[in-house]
Amino acid sequence: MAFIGKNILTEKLVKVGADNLITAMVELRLALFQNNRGQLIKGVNDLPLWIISDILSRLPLESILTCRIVCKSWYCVTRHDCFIKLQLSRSKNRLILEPLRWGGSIFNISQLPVVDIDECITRQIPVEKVPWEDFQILSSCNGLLCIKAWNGRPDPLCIYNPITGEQMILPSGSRRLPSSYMVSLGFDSSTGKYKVVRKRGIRKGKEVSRFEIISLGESSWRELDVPMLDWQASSVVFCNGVFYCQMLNRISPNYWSIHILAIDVSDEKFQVISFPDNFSRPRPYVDMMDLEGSLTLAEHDRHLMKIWRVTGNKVGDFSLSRQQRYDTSVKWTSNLHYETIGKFNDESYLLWVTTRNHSIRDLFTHFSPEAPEGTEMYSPLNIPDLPHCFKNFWFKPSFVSPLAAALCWS
Amino acid sequence: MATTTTETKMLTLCTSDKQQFQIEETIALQAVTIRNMVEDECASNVIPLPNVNSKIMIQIIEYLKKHVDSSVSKEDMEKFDSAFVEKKLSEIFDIILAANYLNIKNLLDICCQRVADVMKNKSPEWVRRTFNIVNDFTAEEEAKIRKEHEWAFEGVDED
Repeated sequence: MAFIGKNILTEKLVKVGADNLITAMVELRLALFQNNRGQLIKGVNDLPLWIISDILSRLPLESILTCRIVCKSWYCVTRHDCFIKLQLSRSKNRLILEPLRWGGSIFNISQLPVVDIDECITRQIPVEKVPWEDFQILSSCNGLLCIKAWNGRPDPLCIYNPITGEQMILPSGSRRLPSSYMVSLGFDSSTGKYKVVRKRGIRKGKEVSRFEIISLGESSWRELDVPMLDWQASSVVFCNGVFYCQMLNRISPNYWSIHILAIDVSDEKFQVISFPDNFSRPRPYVDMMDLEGSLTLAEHDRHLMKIWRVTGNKVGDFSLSRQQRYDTSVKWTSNLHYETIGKFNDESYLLWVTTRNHSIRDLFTHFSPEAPEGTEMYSPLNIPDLPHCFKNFWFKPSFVSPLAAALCWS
Repeated sequence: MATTTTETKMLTLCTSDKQQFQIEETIALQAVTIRNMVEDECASNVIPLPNVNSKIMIQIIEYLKKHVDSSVSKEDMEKFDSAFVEKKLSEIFDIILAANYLNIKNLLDICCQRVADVMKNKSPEWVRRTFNIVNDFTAEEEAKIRKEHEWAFEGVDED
């Protein structure tokens, strides 16, 4: 029978499956709707349930939580798996902050500030059900955080959704304490698996890097066989299905060369991406960021900012090219430091600036390198309730469940 | 001067209240449901649309006519869209149902977004009043769910 929205309905609800309650409710609504066809409707609840789900998924996460208590059917809809996927696809990127401590003292993190950069609003999300009072954030992906206890030990890691309070502890790896440590959480959209890549620096005279990977739900870490293991990995980000790791190699007392190691989240194949000009600099400093799904690098070269972009869409076909070269008009020092964390619009970047005078103070600013004469190049954001100093991670608030993610494929 | 007459193929749409609308085929084919009917050749000269009444059809045709015009800039189209959804909510709901039936994705999108914009940052009580929804939770159930995410209720608009 040719019927209203049947195809879309099949796509959006039935495929995901067997939540009997929801299915029954959907059928009920459709049946009611059939009886009324052609007639004017009066209220929002006369709409098919999948449309209600579509409408609610467009709301900011806070409004979804408040709208949940409007009625039972809305509450059910917003807990359904297909709603969670739809909401995630529409969730607006915000920044989650980890307040930094003074002198390494233990700290009770009872809430995490989440910042909406466009609206300059800070929300305090209460921290609940985390296994440790004091923890640090290592990585963020699809509303899930990868965290660990603030005690220097690398294990265990915990995948935590601060919105739902759901958490899951990952298996421990080698007991040997690494000399340096980096972690990134990624998502394989082809299979629905979440994976964590971590690098452990092991000192054998010179530091060497070991990479290991685990999927949520797996019982142990697997070592990755990647090149350049005697190089130093300095940072890692996940962007559009690929883990990118910045690798530094000291080629003379004052010069370093830098390459990017790309590891595909899905088949775990890798590629070394090189800078075209045989990149070597005194104290290279390069920020990595995800700009609209492609990796963008901001190189700090004294007062200059050089923007590089990784092009290509799979391992084996990536290359790097320089896009822009900007004069920042500021003499950056160790007491006045910045990191490029994103783009605000076509003309301006978002910088995270740390100043150290008598105390440390972090802030966000827009940087418009091509601002017309007579206008300011920098416009600091006036965001209330920021901690004095903090680390920051892009964060898409969502209802993604780490437990469901671990179960969905095993 | 030579004149060329290109024959514009017309379709006739028949609404639930038996009103007939003659429109150019290119305009009507933006609706996937109509396109499928025409492609499957199951449509005769007159296409029956028993789920859409004439009042809504007039508005949908207005939307389709604008969107078939490729000379309209992206900016102007956005202006048109935001003016188009400035309607009473009950009317928006009717358009949503029709857009769903006719399978016009963009129209469905802008209408759903419009409803979401109305709800944004509003208290549950306001949403119930505005959308005429009966609260079927008990007071205890409601308080319990509310307590799970008390922080989200800070700063909601009561009116």
